[in-house]
Amino acid sequence: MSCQKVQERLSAWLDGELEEKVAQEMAAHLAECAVCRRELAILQRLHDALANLTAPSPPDVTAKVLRHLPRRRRRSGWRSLSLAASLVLGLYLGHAVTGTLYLLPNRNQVGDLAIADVFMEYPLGSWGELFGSLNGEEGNGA
Amino acid sequence: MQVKPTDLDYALILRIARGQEEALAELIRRHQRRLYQLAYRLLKDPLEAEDVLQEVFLKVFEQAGRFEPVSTVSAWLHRITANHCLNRLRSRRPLDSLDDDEAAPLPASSADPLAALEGEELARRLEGLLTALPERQRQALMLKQFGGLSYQEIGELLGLSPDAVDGLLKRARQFLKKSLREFLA
Ligand SMILES: [Zn+2]
Repeated sequence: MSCQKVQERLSAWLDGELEEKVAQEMAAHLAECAVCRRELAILQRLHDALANLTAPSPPDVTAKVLRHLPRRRRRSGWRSLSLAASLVLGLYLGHAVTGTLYLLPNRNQVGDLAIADVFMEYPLGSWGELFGSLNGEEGNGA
Repeated sequence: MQVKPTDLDYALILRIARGQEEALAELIRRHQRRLYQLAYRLLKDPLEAEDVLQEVFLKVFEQAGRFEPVSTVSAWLHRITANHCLNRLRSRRPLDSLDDDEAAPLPASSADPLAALEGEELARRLEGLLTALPERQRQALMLKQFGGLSYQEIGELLGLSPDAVDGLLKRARQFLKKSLREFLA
């Protein structure tokens, strides 16, 4: 590999972006060539100088972030209580009208979810929570 | 780079996904410094950089359950931060011309070349030169230097091929190297 080719690729080489084979040729050339080694050293010093640049001291954003966290979907105690009361009333009326006690609904009935909704607050990471957050966009999948 | 099961950041992410605020506080403590540096370097505005940092960690709290350990948590955080910064830059003003030609003329240097070896002077000149870089070159360099992103990732953020990113970085470094030769040689 010529000196010119090597020097053109030093930037990508430092970033670890070259194919293995090319990187090996580069290393072999650099081991032999002081001129290219000097260019490499200059680039490395530039990299270090950039890394050492100071920014204004970063603020601690912890408190602000925690304060702005979305509240869980919390129901007030009274609202939960009134929903639970409605449910019990519904069961009673159902029994009174049809003579059957629908205490344990079929697994497939949507009623399952409604009951869960009355008594539970979705813990984070649960399916319930997931339903509320299916519109995200910051996944990192490959 | 894949996440190891013993990775502390990953353990924190799992706890954050379960809604544990203390885990988020710890993740912030561990990463805010570096992420702030990236945001500040991209936006050149301390207050906006702080806003972005808040947005990023709120996003992390929301999205922790979706993190897939195909990359490190740190890389993920840097990508989210870069993304938020670039969105702000896009809404801030129309993009500079896509064919970034030459860097602006060098800011005049009043420095005595003999005293120039001081790191402080080097840093001062470097800051000046960074503002003279064409915007695309500057963004690519900041994403590489402070975000540690791959050419592929930088390309995705800037809407360019990895080869084009390679070209931007090469030109940016060439310009800085040439301008600072007396400091770096
Ligand atoms: Zn050579």
